[in-house]
Amino acid sequence: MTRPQYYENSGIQAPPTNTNLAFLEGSKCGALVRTLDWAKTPIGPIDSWPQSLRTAVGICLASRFPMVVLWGKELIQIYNDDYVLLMGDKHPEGMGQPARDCWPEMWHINKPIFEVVMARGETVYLEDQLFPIDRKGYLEETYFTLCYSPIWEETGSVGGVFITVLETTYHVLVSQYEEERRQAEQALRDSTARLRFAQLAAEAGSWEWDIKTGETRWSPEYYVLYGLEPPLQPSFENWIASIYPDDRERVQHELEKQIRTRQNHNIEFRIIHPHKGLRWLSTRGRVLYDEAGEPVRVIGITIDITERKQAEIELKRLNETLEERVEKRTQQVRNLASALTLAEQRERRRIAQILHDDLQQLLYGLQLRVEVLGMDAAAGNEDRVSSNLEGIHALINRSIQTTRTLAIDLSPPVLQGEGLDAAIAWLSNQMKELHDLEVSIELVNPCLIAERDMRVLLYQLVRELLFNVVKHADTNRVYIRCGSQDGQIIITVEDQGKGFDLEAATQKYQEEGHFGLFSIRERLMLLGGNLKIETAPGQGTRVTITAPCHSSLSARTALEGGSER
Amino acid sequence: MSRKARIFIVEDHPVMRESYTMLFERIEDVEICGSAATAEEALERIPETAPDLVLVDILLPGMSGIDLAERLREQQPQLPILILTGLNDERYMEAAARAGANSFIAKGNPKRMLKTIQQMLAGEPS
Repeated sequence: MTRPQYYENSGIQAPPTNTNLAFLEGSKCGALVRTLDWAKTPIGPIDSWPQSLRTAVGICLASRFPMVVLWGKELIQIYNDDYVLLMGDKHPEGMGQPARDCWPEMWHINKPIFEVVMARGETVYLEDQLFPIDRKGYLEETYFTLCYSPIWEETGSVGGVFITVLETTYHVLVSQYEEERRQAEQALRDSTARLRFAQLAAEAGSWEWDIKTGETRWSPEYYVLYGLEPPLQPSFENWIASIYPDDRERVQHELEKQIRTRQNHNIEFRIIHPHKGLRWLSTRGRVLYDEAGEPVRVIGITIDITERKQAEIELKRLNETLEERVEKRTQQVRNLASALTLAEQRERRRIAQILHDDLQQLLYGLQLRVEVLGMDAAAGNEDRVSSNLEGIHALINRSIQTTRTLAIDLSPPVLQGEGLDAAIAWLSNQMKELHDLEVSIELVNPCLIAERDMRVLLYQLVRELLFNVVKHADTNRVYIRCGSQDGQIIITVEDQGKGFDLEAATQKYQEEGHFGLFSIRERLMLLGGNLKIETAPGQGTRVTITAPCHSSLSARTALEGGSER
Repeated sequence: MSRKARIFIVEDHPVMRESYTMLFERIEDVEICGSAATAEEALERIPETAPDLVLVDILLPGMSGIDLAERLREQQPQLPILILTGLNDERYMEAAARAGANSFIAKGNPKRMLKTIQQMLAGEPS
């Protein structure tokens, strides 16, 4: 029997030979151990193994936990069948091989551990330790839970390391995966919560519709938005059914069109919410297409736009009313402008008539008298000269009077005071003198009119009404009553003349746009006043003017108008 | 000329009628044979007064001086008609000529008026 070289070299006394190999029975690795030529290893032949090594190897081979015995300074490996499962390509070469040669990729981890165990006899325990090992021809990430314990020799020194090892790669990876999944789920929950919160805040509901399978999903907010209850299953048909009946066809048509034309859809429609009544919703969606370009899914969001719609409708209504009001006002102003033009023309004609019919004739007459005077003077007829001169003086006085009347007529000086009574009285005298119209005046404490413009307007209105009587009423008597009530001046001009058909006149005004009394009324209304006409054929006419004694508006624009009927 | 020329005046303004009368009284060979304030009155009275010349104011209440000239021309094609106007407007002049007036002059120049009357009575073109 040869002594193992190991003992010869180490100087340690070789243990007594032991040929009993029962500790190697019962396992594949045990069988392998028996077949190997251990004399070629530092451990030496089996029969020279010390009892401590035999015991350790026996425990190792008999265990169903993966175990390995590393023996001697070279840490020669002897492992069991379950350890083989961890080794991959390293078995069977690893049996009897130094640990450093078998696991070079892990030596940087193992070396300090072996030193601790071998030198100090301490146990090292590692749980789920990462070892990057190469057992399948490539480096892989593996995890192990290991216990490195010392194998005490009979001499009291540590002869080797006993390693129990459990590969925990699967568990570690699973738990890592689960941690990641848990984190992902948490993130999803957070994100979902945020999305839900955002949907609630925006009164928005999200939805998803698989065009091919018909599978539909509605978010809880979607139900809230439509006022639907969860027992109702999400479906395209249920969505259409929840739309206001009048809008259904249009919505379907638009959706089909937008899917067909590959547009992101944006449709507005109404629903009847069970609690809130009629609501406007807007749904925006994106269509997803498959590789063949066929639409497969639509994903979108629906929001409540009722308030915006109501604001739009209100704005539209206001705009329409505004246009109507502007149009009405424009028509009034147009009528007024037309009436003012007519009035101005008539006033010019009147002045021209006074100038031509009276003043001009007086001046021509004077000219003839002067011619005659010259003839008489040439003939030396002093009597004729004298009487002619008297006639000339009279004509000059009459001409002066005419110009004075015209000037007063154009701007009555009586309107300088704040009262209307003096002006109306003066006007009455004029009408009597020029048109033989008898005017009876009744003044019942009429208010003062602070604004001259308003005074002039009222004066002109009364004058127009009196002219109307002269021209149309077929009577030479008229009654004026002037009083005030609640800050309004009230003037009534009434005659017992032939009257007229008010309805026909109104129609005529609407068709032709001019009728003096209505023009007066429009001018008054612009200043916050009004005019009421009461008449019928054969029944006389009563016109009542009402106007504020203190007008905040300028009457200037309403001035210089007149009436024709 | 043994007989005074007879002039008929159509003028609505009393001062003017009176002034014409005074003027023509001082001219030896003419006399006023009648006057009217309206065209209607003139149409009625002219045939019975048989004037040698009619002096017509263009603006009259009711029928105008131009309408009157037209009517007179229909009745008496040879009757000299002088239209006087305060309106210095050519349109009236044309209308007066179409109506058959022999002359049309503006008021305000008595000497010219008298000269025109003399010429018309003498059968000269004005």
